[in-house]
Amino acid sequence: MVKPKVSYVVAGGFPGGTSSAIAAELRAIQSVARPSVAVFDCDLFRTGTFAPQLEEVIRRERLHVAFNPRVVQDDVVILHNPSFLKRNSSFDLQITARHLIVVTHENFLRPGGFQPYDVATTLSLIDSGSVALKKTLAPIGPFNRSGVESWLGSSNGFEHWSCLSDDWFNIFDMQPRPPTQHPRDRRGRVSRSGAEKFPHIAELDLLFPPQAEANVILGGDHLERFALSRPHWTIHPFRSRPVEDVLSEIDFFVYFAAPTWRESFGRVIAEAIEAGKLVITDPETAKPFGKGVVGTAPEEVSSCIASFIAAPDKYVEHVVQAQSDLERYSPEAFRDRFQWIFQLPKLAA
Amino acid sequence: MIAIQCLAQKSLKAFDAAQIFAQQLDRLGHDIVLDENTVPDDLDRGRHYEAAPFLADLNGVAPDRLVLLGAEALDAKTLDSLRFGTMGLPKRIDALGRFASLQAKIDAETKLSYALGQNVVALDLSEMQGGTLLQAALSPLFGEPLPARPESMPVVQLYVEPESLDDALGLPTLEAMSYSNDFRLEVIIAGVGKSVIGASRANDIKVYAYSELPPFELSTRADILIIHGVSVPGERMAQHAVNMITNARPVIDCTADRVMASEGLPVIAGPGDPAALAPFLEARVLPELKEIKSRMLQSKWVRANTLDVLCERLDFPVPEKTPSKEDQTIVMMPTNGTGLGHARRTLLVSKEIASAPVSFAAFPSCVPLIHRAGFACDPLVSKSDEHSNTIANDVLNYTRLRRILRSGDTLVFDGGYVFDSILRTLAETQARAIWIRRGLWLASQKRDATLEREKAFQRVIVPEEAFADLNEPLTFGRHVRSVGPVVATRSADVDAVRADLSERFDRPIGQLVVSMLGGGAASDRTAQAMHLAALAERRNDLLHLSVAWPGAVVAPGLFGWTNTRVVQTQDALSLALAADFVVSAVGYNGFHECLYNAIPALFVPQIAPFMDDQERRARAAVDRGLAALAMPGEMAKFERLFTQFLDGYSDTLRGALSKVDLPERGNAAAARLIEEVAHDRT
Repeated sequence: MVKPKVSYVVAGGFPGGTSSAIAAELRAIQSVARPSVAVFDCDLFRTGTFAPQLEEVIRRERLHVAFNPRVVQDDVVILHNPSFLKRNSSFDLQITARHLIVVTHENFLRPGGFQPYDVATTLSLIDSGSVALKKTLAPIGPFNRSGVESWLGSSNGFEHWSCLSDDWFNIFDMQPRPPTQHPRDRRGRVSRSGAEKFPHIAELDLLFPPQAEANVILGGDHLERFALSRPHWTIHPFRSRPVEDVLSEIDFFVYFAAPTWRESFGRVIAEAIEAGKLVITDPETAKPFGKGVVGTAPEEVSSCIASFIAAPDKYVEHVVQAQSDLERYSPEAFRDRFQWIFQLPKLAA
Repeated sequence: MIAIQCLAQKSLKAFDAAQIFAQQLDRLGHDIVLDENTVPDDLDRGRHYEAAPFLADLNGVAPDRLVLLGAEALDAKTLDSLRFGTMGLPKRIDALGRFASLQAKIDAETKLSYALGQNVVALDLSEMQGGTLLQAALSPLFGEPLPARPESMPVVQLYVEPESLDDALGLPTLEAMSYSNDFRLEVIIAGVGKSVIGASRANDIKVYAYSELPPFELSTRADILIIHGVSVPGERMAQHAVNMITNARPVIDCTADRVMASEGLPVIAGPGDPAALAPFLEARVLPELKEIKSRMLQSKWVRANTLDVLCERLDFPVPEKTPSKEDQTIVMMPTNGTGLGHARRTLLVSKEIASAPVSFAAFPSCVPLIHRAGFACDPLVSKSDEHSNTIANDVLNYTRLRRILRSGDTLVFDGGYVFDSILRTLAETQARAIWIRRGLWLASQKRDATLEREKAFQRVIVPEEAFADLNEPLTFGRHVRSVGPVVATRSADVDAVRADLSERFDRPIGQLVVSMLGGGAASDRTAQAMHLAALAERRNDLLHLSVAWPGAVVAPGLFGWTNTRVVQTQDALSLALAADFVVSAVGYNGFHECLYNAIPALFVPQIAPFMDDQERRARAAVDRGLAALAMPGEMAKFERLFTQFLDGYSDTLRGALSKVDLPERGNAAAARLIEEVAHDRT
């Protein structure tokens, strides 16, 4: 049977999560579809920027790629992360498709119901150049979905867009490592140093207290720059050490961000689970990862850690549970959903 | 407490924006602060004063509200300083900006919300205000109500760029405009413009340096504003123009870019050539003023750009009005001279005022004297080498004066140089003001810039010298009023004072000499004091009391003499009255106290460029046979005169003094003149 053709519309410039997710997706669907990729420059990124993750998958899988084409025509066209158009005043692309799917990596709404970018203008740029029988927004997780649904419900002029009933999740191809049997109060976190990734300094003090055996912060560049570092913190600049190395030095991954921002998926949490660490975060961020990830308030973190140290079995149980739940984001799971979404016949693996 | 900060890169422009808005809200009665960490390094003199009332150390303090300006120009460093700074963050933070697009607004909102950990909604001023008169303005630029202008010749303020003076016709054009019979010209100019005009033949024109007065103060003084040059020059002039427009006072746009007219503001497009301005005003504007004002009031732009519109959008509570004081106070402010002359003079006048409460604002050296006389006194701060700059004390005094003085009060300043703190406080509070200014200035003191400050006062009271030939008016006009010498007269129980001194110093007193040579800041009097002490040693029954002014440096050697005692007193007159004679500097008070109390005096003038002409004053008395004079360097003459005084010449002088006919004292007259102003009876 001939595999169906699918066109991907992507921006080459996303440096992190979005490009990694698209690359994993292109790799995962090879056995069930024939993807081609249209890569676009935009005003958000420097012209000609091309994420290495994308470059690699296109080269390895020998995918057909076009740069800044004027027309994309296919049965199904998938546009990833429309926020790449947020600084554009125009988008010179005509899309003709039976089904146009826009995967909404960046949340449409932040906590509190505020837009992180001008969604209506961005979506209008896509809308005005596209003809499709069906136009669908595909959220990537529970919080992301609630924002898309809420935005669609309150915006005029986008009634012809529907919201996909199941999440278009980010693929995480996990190689799980076993958790320690003897957890110690060794805490850490990994992220860029952006303002949205960190809570207020007073909250950081709660999360990484002096009584902890270790407090390792990868990506805390700004804390050193503004002399906010504490003697009991070990701070590494972002990208100065491999994430795996940092994770190997801790037992608890304590991850809280600014209350005004939320991860749409939380790749870094998945990586910590994969490495066999117990993840503690806020309840909303914990949600997509199941019961193995602890959702709590910052002031409860230390007592929570103490309770896991006192009951190592409980620690192991939680980590294993989280790893098991993470399998729902496997390439296989995505492929199943991908076929179901397109109502494509199942092929033998 | 509302904190205001501009989000743009730290600069004068950004600080101006925050400061102008702070002043506006302050006038409405809000409690406003500016974080002292936001002050740029290159703050000029005028801005130092303007900022001072609002600057605060907000370390660990969370204001009730934070209003952020210039959100469209958000600077990463400024944002970091908010995020990691020591100021606590309030529950409500508002941001204002002029955004090119919704995305630009959202960008600012998200950056702020991430960094500050709470959702910040930005207010788009472009949307609210319609056209703006300054592209890239960081100030909100809303107009506030101005007090009504008097029905007199309209004041036309003209902003010109300093480069326009390079033109051969630049200054003559301004000079020609200043002679108009239809309007009074005031010029606003940046850079060296003010000094260039001041040094020219056109120096009669009233000129303001660009940041000399806050925009509101400029607006209150003007009926018409003309802006000439390439474009509206900055935040301050833009705010001035908005104040004018929203109060239906015509603004004439003579800029090259004509932004105001093209943005739809209700302004008048004026001629580009300054030479055409006077005929344009006389033919096109002044005859139509009524019609122009009425059209301006109908403008939608005016209705959208008043400060109350913004305050409503920001949900600012209507502040409680400070209850007006029941009594309108007369506040006496003597400067701190080399002695206590200014303080003593104002005390003499104050004692004659009965119709209003009197309080003082005075420098530390004067405070005990004032308290002893039974008056309340707010302390001011003296200049000091320990301060970070030369105006630090006056900036602080400004913040104190503006708290002390309320509209309706009357400030009476006694001193030579009118401090910036006084001018600014008077401009802000609209308080009445009187300058007590004795004469006999040295030629070097009679500078136009010093005397020009007289314009801030409704009345100048000149306490005259006792001898007519010493009275030369410094300025003229109906507001300048002379009174007789303001001087203390007293009778003393000489025997009782001498007995008291004898007991205190445990020695008999045959002859008593009191020296009041002055000193301290003015000149070093050590040589004269030591010489005098040495001469005093020659007589066994002589007691020499050397009176030291507060703050004066007393040479340690002066304490080693047998017949000399150093004393500090707030009542030197009582000692002088008990003395056989005095050796004295020739300040206004000391000199007239000697004359009016018939105290024989051997005068030794103090000579310094900032002092009065003491030598001339002394010679007037010597020429009339009423005193003796030795110049500071005339040691031999001094010795001779001192000996003569001890040997009977002091009695001769006392006789002459008791017969001399002196003018009536002016203490009460000065008080009446002050009361007239205080009670609007001029």
